[in-house]
Formats: sequence, C-alpha cells, structure tokens
Amino acid sequence: MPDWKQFVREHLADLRLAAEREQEIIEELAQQLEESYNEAIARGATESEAESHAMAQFADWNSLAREIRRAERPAAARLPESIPNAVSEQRLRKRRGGNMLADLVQDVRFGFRMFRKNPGFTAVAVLTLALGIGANTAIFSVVNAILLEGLPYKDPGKLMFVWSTFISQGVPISGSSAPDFRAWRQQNHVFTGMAAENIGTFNVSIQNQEPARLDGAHITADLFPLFGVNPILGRNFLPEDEKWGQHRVVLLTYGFWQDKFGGDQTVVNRKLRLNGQEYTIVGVMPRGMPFFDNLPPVTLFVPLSYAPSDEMNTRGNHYLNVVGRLRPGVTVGQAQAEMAGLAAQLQKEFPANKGLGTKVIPVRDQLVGDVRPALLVLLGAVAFVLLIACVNVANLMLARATAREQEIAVRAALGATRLRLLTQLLAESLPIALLGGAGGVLLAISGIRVLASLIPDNLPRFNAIAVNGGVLLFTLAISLLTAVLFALAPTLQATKAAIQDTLRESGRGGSDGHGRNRLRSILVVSEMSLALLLLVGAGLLIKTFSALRHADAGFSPDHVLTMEIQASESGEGQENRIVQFFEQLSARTTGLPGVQAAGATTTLPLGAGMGWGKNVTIHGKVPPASLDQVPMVMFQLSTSGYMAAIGARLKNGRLFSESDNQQAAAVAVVNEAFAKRFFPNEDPIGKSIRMLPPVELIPVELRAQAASTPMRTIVGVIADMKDSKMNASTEATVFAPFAQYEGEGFTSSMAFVVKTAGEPAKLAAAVRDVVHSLKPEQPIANIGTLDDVVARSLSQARFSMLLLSIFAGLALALSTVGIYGVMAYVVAQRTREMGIRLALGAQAGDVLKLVLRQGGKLALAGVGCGVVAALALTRLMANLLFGVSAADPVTFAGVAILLTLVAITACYLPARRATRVDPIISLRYE
Amino acid sequence: MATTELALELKKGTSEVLILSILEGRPRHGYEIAKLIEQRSGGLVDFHVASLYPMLYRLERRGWIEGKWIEKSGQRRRRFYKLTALGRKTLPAQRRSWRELIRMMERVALSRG
Repeated sequence: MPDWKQFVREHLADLRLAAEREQEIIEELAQQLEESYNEAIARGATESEAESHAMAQFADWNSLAREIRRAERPAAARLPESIPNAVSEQRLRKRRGGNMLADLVQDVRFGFRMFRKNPGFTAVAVLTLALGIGANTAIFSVVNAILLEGLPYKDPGKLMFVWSTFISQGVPISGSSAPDFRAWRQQNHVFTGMAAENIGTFNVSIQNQEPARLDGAHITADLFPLFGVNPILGRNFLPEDEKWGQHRVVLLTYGFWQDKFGGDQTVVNRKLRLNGQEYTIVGVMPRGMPFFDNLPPVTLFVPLSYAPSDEMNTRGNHYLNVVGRLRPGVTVGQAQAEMAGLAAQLQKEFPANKGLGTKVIPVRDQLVGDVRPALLVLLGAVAFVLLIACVNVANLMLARATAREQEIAVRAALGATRLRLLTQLLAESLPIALLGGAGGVLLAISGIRVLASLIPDNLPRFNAIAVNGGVLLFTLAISLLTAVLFALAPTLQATKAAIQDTLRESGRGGSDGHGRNRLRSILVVSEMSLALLLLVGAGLLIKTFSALRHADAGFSPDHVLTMEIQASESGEGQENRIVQFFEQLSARTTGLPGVQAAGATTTLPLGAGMGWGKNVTIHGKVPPASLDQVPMVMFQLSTSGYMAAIGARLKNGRLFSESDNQQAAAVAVVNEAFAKRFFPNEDPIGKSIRMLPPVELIPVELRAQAASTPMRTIVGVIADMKDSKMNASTEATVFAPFAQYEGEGFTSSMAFVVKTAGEPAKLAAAVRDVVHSLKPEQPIANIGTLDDVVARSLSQARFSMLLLSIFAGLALALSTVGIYGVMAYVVAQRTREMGIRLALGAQAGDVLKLVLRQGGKLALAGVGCGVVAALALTRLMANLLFGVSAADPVTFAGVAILLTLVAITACYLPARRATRVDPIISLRYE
Repeated sequence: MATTELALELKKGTSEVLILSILEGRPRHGYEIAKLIEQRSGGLVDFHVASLYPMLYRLERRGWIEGKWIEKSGQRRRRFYKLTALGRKTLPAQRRSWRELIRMMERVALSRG
C-alpha cells in the first residue's frame, strides 16, 4: 500500500498555512485516499486498480490546493457576503468587548467593498446627495444674500423709511418735502434720529482725468451716524456742512477712491469739480458699504443743502427719501401712528399739505419688496428639491437595507448586538455620505459662481454672494441624516421585530414585505408629484417671460441707441442754451448717414419710478373742491425728433414739429391712458390743459409764480408706452415740447435717443463726435440701446424663470433617478422569478410589459397627485405671471406628458434588463 | 437549455445544506460524509470528493461545523465533524430557502399552465 501521506505531501502544493494545520489537512486527505483504496481492495480490485481509483478522487491537485487556501483564509477578509460577518460576530462575542477599532476598520473596508459590488447604487446615491446638497446650497445662498441678510449697517432691522402718501391721488408712496422732513425730525418721539437723502447725478472732473458723469447722493449730515458707519479716512459731514456756501465738501465711496485716486491716503483736503463747482474731499467711506440697494451705484456724497429761495426746499416738491432709526422698544406700528399724527398736524397748518399722509416701512422690506414674491417662490422650490433629494436618498437606502434584511436578521439571531449591527451599517453608509457631501460642497462652490453671474443688476444685493456656511451645514446635515436614518431604520425594525418572522417571511433572496414596497412606492409617487409641481412652475414662468418679451411696449425698441447727457451750463439764460444744445444735437445727429431720427427726452420708457408727476387741470371741466383731489399725471419734455426716434405710434392728431417753439402756442401730446381717463367719450384734440392745480386752490403767495405756467392745447394722442414695467399699465402722461418748458420746471439732464438703420452701437462714436463738436468737454453716460433697456426691465423675470427652470430640471433628474432606482431594485428583487418565467417560455415582451406596467402606475399616480398640488400652489405665484393663467392647461398637459415619458424611459432600462435575465444566473442571484 | 449547467448550479448550492443535514444526527468523518452524500442523493448528485474537503474547511471557518481528531481504540485517529450551535441554528433557514425556491418554481410553472 502506498504511503498516502507522502503521496499527498508530494502532490499538494504549499498551502501557506500554519505547519500544524497543513499537517492536519494532509493527514485528513491521506485518510480519504486510504479509505477509498481499502474499499476498492475490499470490493476485490487489484492493488493498482485500487490505487488509481483512490488517486482519481483528487485529479486536479492545483485546484484543490487553491480551494483549500481560499477556504482557510480568515473569514472577514475573504467574502463580500453576509455570512463571514456573522462569524466575526461570534468571535466578537467570544472576545467580550472586543477590539472596537479593528471592527470599525473592518466595517469601513466592508463598506468600500459594497461600493465595488454595487457601483450603480453608489453612483446614484453619491450623485443624489451631491445635487441635493450642492445645488440647494448655491441657490439658497443667493436667495439668502438677497432676501434674508440685513444691510451692513448697525442694527439694520431698526431702520425705517418714512414716506409721504397722497392716497386720494392714488399715490401710495412718494418722497417727502424738505420742510416736512425737518418738521418730522424735530417733532417725533419714536425715532432716535431721522435723516434724508436724494440721489443726484454729477459731472465729475478730477485734475488730469477724463470728465465723467456719475451718480452720487445728497445726504443730511446725520445719515451716516444713523447708519452707525464711520469714514475710514477723514471725517463725516457736520451740521454746518449743510449751510449754503459751506456745502462744497464731498465724501467718497471706497470704490471711487480706489478707482480715481488709487487709494491715495492723502486724498483728504484735495479738490475735485462737481457740475463745474470746486468741492473739497473730507473723507472716504469704508469698503462694502452699499448705499441702501446701491441702485444706481452711488460713488460720492455731498451735503443736502439749499440756496436761499431754492424751489426744491418748498412743500410742493416731494422728492427726499427719509430714514429713521426706531427708539428701543418702539414698534413699527407705534412709529406709524405717531408719524400719521404729525402729518395730520401739518395738513392743518399748511394748505399745500392737504391730503398728505405718511407711511413707515422697514428699510429691508422696502428694498426687497418687488422681488420678494419671486424669491419666496424660489425658496419654496429649494425646499421641494431638497425634499426630492432626501426622498431619493431615503428610497435608495431603504431598498438596500431591505435587501439585506435577511442577513441582518440572521446575524441578530446569532447574537449580534444591536449596537454592533448599527455601527456596521453606519460605517457602510459613511463612505457614501462622505463622497456625496464632498461632491455637494464642490457643486455649491462652482454653482454659486454661475449663479452670481446670472443675477441681474437691478436685483438689490446687500452683501457679496458667497457660499453660506450655515446653509451648507444645514443641507449636509439633513441629507446625510436622511441617508443614515433610512439605512438604519429597517435594521432597527428588524432587530426589534420577531427575527423568526423575518427569516421565515423573506427567505433567502425572496420578495420583501409588502409594507416596505408600499413605502417605497409612496416615496416615488411623492417625488414625482414634487417634480411635476416644479416643472409646472417653471413652465408658467417660461410662458410669462415669453409673453413679456412679445408684449406690446408701445414703442419699437430695435435699432435705437440711447445715452444720457447732462448739459452743464450756468448763468443767465442757461435753460435756453441747453434747449438749443439738444435741438442742435438732434438736428446734426439726424443728418448723420445711417440715422433715421434723433431726439431727447426727460424720461425713457421702462424706467420704473423715474417719472415726473404733476397736477393737471382740464380746462372746461368742473374744478375739484380741494387740493388733494386735483388729479396727478406724468409729465415729460421732449424734443421734436424724440417720438419718431423711439417709434411712438400716433393714434390721433399730430406729433411735435420744430415749429412748436417758444414763439408758438403751447401744445401737448397725451397718451391713450390720459385720453381715456379725462376724455372717455370725447375727442381730446383741441382741448386745453394746464399743469397746475386750479388757481383758486393755489396758496395766494404762490399764485404769481403760477401765472407763468402756460395753457396747453392737446394736438395729438399716442399709444401708451410702457413706463415702468412690461406687465404694468401705463400712467396718464402729458408730453410737452422741450422748447416750451416755460413755467413747468426744467431739467438739464436728458436721455438722447437715436433711431438707426443698422447696428446702433456702430453709430455711438459718430454721435459722441457730434456731442463734442457742440460741447467739447460734455460727458456722456450710459450709452446703450433701447433693447438693453427692455432686456433690463425683463431681467428679473428672466432670472426667476432661469432659476426655477434649473430647479425643475434638477427635480426632473432626481425623480428620474428615483423611479429608475426603484424599478431597478424591483427588477433585481424579482430576477429569479423573471428568469424562471423566461426559462418556462415567457416572451421578452411579456416581462417588459410587466415591469413597465408597474413603473407606469407609479408615474401616473405621481403625475395625478402633482397636478392636484400644482393647481393649488401655482395660484400663490399668480402675481409673478403675465399673459398666462396659473392653471394654464397647455403647461399642465405638456409637463404631465413630459414627466410620464421620462419616467417610462427610466423604467425601460431595468425592464430591458429583466428580459435578458439568464435563468441560471437568476437562480444563483443573491 | 443548458440543463446540465443548471444542475451544477443547483448542486453547488445544495451541497452545504447536504453536509449540514448529514451532520445533524451525529458527528461524522470526511470519508463517511462523502459516502452518505452519494447514497442519499441516490447517485443523482455526482459529488466530487475534491470539493468536499475545501467545503468542510470553509464551513468550519464559518463556525457552522467543528472538526476534532478522535482516536478510537486500535484505530488511527480520524477527524470527526459535528454541527456547532451556530450551524444548528442556520440549518433550518438554509433548508427553508431551498424549499422556498422549489415552491416558487412550482408556482411559476403552474401559473404558466
């Protein structure tokens, strides 16, 4: 008989095990050979027959050695499956207390192995977390910077605007007169201080530099102390700086100081010229101190100061913005009551104050007011997307945890403590959470750069927009918490519930509980509905934007060059020289090749809040009984070429001509809104109007001055040109020839408008040459096109639309991933069943239908719920919409179809996989 | 259809259950186990001895069975395997899952009529 031990030793390759163990194995295998040999002999075989019979049992020694080596490898490092962990459980219990660190390392390693095993799951989970965290952080940071953060002033919540109101005229808010402001400041008991400001435009010249036209502010000396902001160089204004004659001092903003003086520390006491007058620089304000919403961007400050008998210092001119700081403990309501009382007092004392009230509004509410609805809708969208992301993560984690429920139950049955199981699951979800979180942070940082570049200029922006740490932490926390919670929840349940039940019910790789399937379905349905909601919102805003773009503005914005020119003249007869300058400029520009028309006007269309309001008296109508009932309309001066240049549409009568000059009878053109309001059933042509209250209502001391205001004859009616916004109605407006400015006030600051045949920007240089040929040093500001003006008026709508579309896209992507994930999971769960069906002759089409039907049901349920929710919620955004109903059937239907198609496509991939199931693999499937 | 392949897959999965079942009654040594598998499966399962030992070592590592050298009077020592408590606990679950598979196959087969 051969020496079987020797035989095995010779044939079995080195097992790389402990010598003792190797000897044991050799001995055992040798016994096996020996027994078969003996058995064969006993059956009557020859020795050589028996020998070969025995040896045939281990034909492939190499593979045997490999198999043994694999079997003998330490359990935990070997199998990416469930059972080895159960063994380590056992070992842990033996060790009593064990080595927690080693366990953790082992668990995390196990977690990373799960990655490689399920790359799809990992990618989807990480992507969902990154999108949920990153995109939301970026957008929330923007919304937060615009809507929620305060002005960088001391205690900004206490700062209030105090406005005048003229309710009987339909003027809810207006600037205030200087005498009213002084009375308020002196008599109130609710504010620690009150200050006033007024934006102005200055022709700025600094020695050795090009003259420039820049915006600045006239402020009272107490404004910056009220803000709690001090200059970084020099001093604040003093009360005596407001005295006429001592008023030629200027404070610079940080940006202006850097731009024009290169941050020169010795700039204090240097001089510069503002509108031709020499001013002394007294200080520089700190960096990052916006002047309210900084619209327009203010570059310098001068004291608010009045020459004796300055008309702007009378009760008839309401133009100051007044701010106050609430005393401690005083509410907005109390301040409002006190200011209303003061206004009532002033009404009694001064006839000119008849009908004037006050309105106290927190500064921040005022500045954000217009964009608030849009931002709140976006904020809602942020919440929805975050919710979708969380639902997705929850679903993914739930699916995975459920798939492993059996394993968990076995291990719990084998005595693994709950803590031990939780630690392991935590360690497994940790790598996913870390990757997702890191991706989210990166996405937030890059996303915010993109968003910042999209923010329109006319959106108030108090602070630099940066990634908001708090928001980042919040989204990180909430997403990761969701991930961990839903990874652990089923485990908690499994360890709590009767383990035997779980074992019995699920079985190895069997179908999981109905309850959990239903929960996952509910999650998918809810994220589909949320996605539909966002898509509908985005769809409505896209339609709104398109409607706004195609809305009739009342003028033709294409091929129109615009610029602002403040003609600086001084001395006797300066008004006439300015009129002459603009007339000549218009005439010479019209003569340029490629120019069709040119003219100047006081107010361009679509400049919200830029109008010039005036009282009007219609000759031949019953005069109003009191001053507060005198109608107020918009007033605009323009040269004869303006109407043609802007493409105003004549409805009746005629436009201005060059013969409508100072020598000719005073005329006016009105818009349709004016004609409808004052002459609803008459032809306004030939009617007379005067831009004044009825003489008998004017205070006696002012009547002499009023006499110079001419009676104007209406000669034409033009179509309404949108004066504030595309989606707002146009106010009644009177246009008068610039040459006939007599008595109604005058301005040297005009918008110059040039209608060109070709590309308007190409003519900018030629027009500038014409300006400089007439006035060599004349600054020109804001050269642009009328198309830009229109685009700027739409920028906010565009921004809202863009952001909501991004959100909706994100929601669509996430919910697609969600439904895909669930269907893929369902298919995986039913792989064995599918395989057997196919093996038994089912057609691929049947299996495809089976899966698609299940996915389609979920999609339709989601779309149904979403439509109902959208019908309820889009109403809240009705005031953002224009030209489209909040329940627009086309948008709803389109979005529903889109979402359903995308969802079905997402189900198609797993369904296809189901049809390709190999029955053999399906049976082995774990 | 690759029915032989199917059988192979089934066999691999069943072997573990078979070993556990065989050890359920009392401890046995390797040669005995091999013989019993052959007998109980009625020769249907062509069990390879070469794969038995690695499987035994694996089950031992897993803690489901435990091997021990036992010397009976006058005989050479043999390695006897017995079910551990853990193996005893696992066996019903293993059996159940196979029963489940069989039942599912029946169900699907019947449903196709």
